[in-house]
Amino acid sequence: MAAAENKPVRRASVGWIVVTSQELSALWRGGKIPALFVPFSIVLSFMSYLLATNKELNLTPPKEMVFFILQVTIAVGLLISLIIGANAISGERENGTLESLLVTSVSRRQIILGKFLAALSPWPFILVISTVYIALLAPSAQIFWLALLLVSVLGSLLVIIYAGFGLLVSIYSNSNRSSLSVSLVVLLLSLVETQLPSGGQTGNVGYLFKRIDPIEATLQVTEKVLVNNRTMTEMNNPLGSQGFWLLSPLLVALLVVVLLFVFGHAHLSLHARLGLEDKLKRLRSLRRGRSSALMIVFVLAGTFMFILASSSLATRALALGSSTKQRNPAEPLQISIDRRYEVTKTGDEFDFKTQVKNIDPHKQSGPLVVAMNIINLGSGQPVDPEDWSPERTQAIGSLKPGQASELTWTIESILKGDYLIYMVATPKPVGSTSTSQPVASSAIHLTVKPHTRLNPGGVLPLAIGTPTALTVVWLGLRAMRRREVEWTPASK
Amino acid sequence: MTTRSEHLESSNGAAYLLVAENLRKTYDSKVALKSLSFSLRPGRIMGFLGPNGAGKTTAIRILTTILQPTAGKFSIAGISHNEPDRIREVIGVLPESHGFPENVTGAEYLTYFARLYGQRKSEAKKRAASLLREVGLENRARSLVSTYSRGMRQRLGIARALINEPPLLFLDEPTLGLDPRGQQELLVLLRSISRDHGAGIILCSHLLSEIEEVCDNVIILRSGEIVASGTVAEVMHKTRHNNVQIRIPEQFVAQAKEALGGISGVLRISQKRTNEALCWLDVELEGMPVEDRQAKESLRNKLLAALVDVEIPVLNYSAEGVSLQDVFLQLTDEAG
Repeated sequence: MAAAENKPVRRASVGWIVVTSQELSALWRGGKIPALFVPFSIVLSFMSYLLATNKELNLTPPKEMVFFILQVTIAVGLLISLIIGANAISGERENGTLESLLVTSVSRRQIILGKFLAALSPWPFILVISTVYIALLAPSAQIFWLALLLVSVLGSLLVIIYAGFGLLVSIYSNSNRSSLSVSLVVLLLSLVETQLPSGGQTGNVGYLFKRIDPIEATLQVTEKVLVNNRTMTEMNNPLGSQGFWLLSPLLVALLVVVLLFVFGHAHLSLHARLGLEDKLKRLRSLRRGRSSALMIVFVLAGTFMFILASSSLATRALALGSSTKQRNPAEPLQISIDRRYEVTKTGDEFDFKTQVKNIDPHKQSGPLVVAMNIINLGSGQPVDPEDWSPERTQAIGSLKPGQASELTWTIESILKGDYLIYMVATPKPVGSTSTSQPVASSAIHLTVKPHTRLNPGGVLPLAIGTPTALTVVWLGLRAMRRREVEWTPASK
Repeated sequence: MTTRSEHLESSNGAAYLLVAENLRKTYDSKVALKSLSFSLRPGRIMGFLGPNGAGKTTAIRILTTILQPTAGKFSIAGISHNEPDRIREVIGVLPESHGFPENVTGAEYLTYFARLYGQRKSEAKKRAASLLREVGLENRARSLVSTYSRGMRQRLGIARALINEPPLLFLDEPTLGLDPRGQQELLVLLRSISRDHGAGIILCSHLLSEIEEVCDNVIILRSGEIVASGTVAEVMHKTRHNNVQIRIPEQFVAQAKEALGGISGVLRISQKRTNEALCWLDVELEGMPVEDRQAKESLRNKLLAALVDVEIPVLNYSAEGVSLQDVFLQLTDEAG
């Protein structure tokens, strides 16, 4: 036991810090990661400039432009982290450097922690770069802070998930090729959800699917809160109409971290014990019927897709079956609105009130729903009220004879143009096969003038300046590294 | 350096740095290592010799805690194999065909590893510089490892293995891919390390010359089993025969066998075909004491003279003498 006491207990350097700093210098020194920021900022500059100057694209509401920037930011952030994570262990295996690392006295867990933190490292910088463009395009300070909050909280969760996932895959792969392809396929699968036919996105299965997929959930929350005037509370109320959207990103992030640090480190060995390569090979020999487990996976996936498709078909069939040709007499309802003409600037909000009255002297009305409708007078096309107002519809209970009910509405002027806003009160049909007669209000004529904040002159300096500054940083790091390293070897 | 001797005193009184007992490793049904038992005293160099697939690297990987033995046990400096974290503190390893990270200089690489063993940054830098000096790389400290020659990389690898001043060093094929001069330089370095650091070394190689040159003890492995072990001299004595190899055109084989068979001292002649027209004859001679060089040489000359007399063209003549290679070939060829 004397030997135990002889062991150098004092450690001036902590293993994971050393691993992290080594990984960071491998990624950053010499400008490897900063080099990626340059094209990223060029893409964002190009997008911002186009959005701000192009006549057609200029019709895009500023909030949607910001959402667009957020999407690109999150996508680039998680892709970079995924790739770094996926290279982390399998890369060392491939390079022959893992064995030297594993025989040192640093624990497996510390190695994983070090690599994980390094994989997360580009994200804060991507966030900072993106902030410049959010500031450029955000129509108001409120939107700017909201967008920043959304992208830093939700984006960070996603980056943690995908960096951790890439690292996990890497622990079980012997080559970068297999760990990268597995990681990217999973990333693609989680993006495919948005590409499913609309039936696959509605219905209970679609509902579940959307909430399980962290990317989809994140984009939903971001879009609804930023563009469609929902609140975070609304989006994350387990009992509300939207459900708890943040559940999946939070749970999946937790799951990935637990898998990495509770189980992953035990599997960090010289050769991947699970050997994803073998699994992939078996996938290829599936035709020879060797792998029944994979067959099961395929059958399950097939069944799942079938349920998805049939549930959407069933929903549609039910909707068709309930249509009817009956006609009801006009409803004894009246709906009025308290404004006639309004002028606003893009991004401005204003409130108005509606009053619904039951003018039937004897009969009580059925339950009512009042819906907002917006027509663009220029194109004659309807506008999706979801973008313009936090409440597209409001419900009123039954009205007694002669009773009136007042509702308050908020409109946010999203796009410049001339609009008509009118309300429709729709009584709930009495029977399951009967119909009812909606009643329309008079309209508000709304003229939205462009916000002067977005002008190409203001965009251009930052759109050119940011990539240039990043290029300078990148070249500077490269030059620094070149000075550190001796390039002309001293004669031996 | 003080820790080493203390380790030894503590290991149950036995002056062994490493004790391995019945180490076994199987993968599913495949046996990589059947049963490996040996011990090593501090400051000694042990060679692991064997053809590819003999189980050398498996043995090294078990002893360096990379692999877990299926059965058996070992201890290093008195630390049981059940405590891999503590074993890693007292060993230095140069793995087989190991790589280096991109875009690091030799000094940065060594500093990183010194810090992995818990050294402060400033200490680590000093340690890196002194090791670079020791392996003769001080002029290239600030150059990228990717610009190093193979020999320089191996020396850097050895410096890395020494970074924690381990009492026991494992080197798996350190001279692989080096030119003869590089090999020689590396062996000189190994000897000085063994001398200056007093470290025990386990050296894995398929190059007999280097084992013969630097090792005190040798273990010859074949198909996961020890086929010979002991000091180099002991193992050399295991050779039963004294061989000469002669290459001749095939049509003369019968004639040559006849001519050689009559010479006293020739035990057996076997033939190996190299291609359609040429044959190697393997002539086994009677065992002779290593010291009796003259008798051996005159017998060899007799063989050559006998062939020349009957006008057989001798294309190649190789009198190997007793070397570790003979033992190695005999012991490792037997199965095949």
